[in-house]
Amino acid sequence: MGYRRSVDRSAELSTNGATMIAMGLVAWVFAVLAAGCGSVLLVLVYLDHRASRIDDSIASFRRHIDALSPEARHESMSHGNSTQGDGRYF
Amino acid sequence: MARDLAIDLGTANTLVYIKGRGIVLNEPSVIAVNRRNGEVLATGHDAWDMIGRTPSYIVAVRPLRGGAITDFDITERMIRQLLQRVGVSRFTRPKVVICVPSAITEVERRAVTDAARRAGASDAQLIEQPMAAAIGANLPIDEPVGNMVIDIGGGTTETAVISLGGIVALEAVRVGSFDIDAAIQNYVRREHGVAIGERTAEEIKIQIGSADPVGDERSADIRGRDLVSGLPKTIRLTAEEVRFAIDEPVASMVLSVKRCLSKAPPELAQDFLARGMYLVGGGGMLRGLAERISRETSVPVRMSPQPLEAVVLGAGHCIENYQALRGMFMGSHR
Repeated sequence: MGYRRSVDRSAELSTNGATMIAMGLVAWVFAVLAAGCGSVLLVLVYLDHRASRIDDSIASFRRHIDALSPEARHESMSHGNSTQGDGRYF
Repeated sequence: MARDLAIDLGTANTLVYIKGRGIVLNEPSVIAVNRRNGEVLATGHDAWDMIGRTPSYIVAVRPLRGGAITDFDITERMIRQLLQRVGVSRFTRPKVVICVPSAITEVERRAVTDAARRAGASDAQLIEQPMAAAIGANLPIDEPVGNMVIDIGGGTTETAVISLGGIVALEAVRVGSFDIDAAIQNYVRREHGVAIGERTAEEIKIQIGSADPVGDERSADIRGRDLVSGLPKTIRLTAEEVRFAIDEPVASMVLSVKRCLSKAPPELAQDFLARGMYLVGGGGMLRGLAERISRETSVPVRMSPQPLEAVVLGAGHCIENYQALRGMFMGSHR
């Protein structure tokens, strides 16, 4: 009787252990998956941000160049109130 | 609400441009101070009239020499006076763009911006004079072509190659039109034994000075003090003598232009031959200078229609388009 009870108990223990190991593995798999998903998400966010930064740089450079165009400068230059001329070549 | 402004803080003249209004002030960069109590007595034209004619306790000085600040305190007072005269107070805090020589040191840079902030500016930015000159001279600097500008001021000669809104090559020497005046003073003292003042030397330069032989060779009667007898004396100077006297500073200016040309990328060099170089600044108005630069470099030289105002007009354009052109200011990172 005693022998049989101890066998049952060891079987129960091994079943519980296997369940715990399985649960631990599942938890690890989930953790790895979550970390992977998180990393992918971060990379996507970074790439998106970098793309928008490049767009910003292009827009900023375009604004800079546009502000230096003869049309943009026309008004400021007309404020010069001294003698106007065509310049001379030598 | 204060209107933002641009200042061309030159060795010879100071010009102020107010956003939406244009150039409102154009005066010599001179300040007269009472040495006994430190009070400012006059600035600009009034102070200019006092140079060399003041009692010992009054000093009429130029706070900038050779494009460098010689007296930080006096410079700060002059900037404060300027801003007050155009309506800046503690309550109206405008943005200010100040044109400075490109060879300015970090200490001078900080001194100028601090002076403007202490005088009431909410934000003070600096821009290099050749860059401002190129904008003000209406050069097509928004295009990918080489634009060369030579800015000859009172204390510096700055040559820059500009393309696509930025400086490609830059060369600056601390030689300007005041060095030409000094050369004339030294020549008259050495060869004729007569002492003349700064203003007389400048008048000689304007009347008969030239960097290259020009058609109309004149001579002028000069009054000064005989170094031997100490009595007033009149002498006659010819244009050829003056040309000989000023050859050294003129040669330095031409050499700096050549150095800048040699720094320019070959792709842009061909643009100079086709488009020429632009001459701005009061020093560029010396007769025969454009011809001499053109002769020695084999590149055509064009005089800006507004040589004295080009720099402040360029800075004025930056203040009109402050956000878009922020990247042009010294120390900014585009």
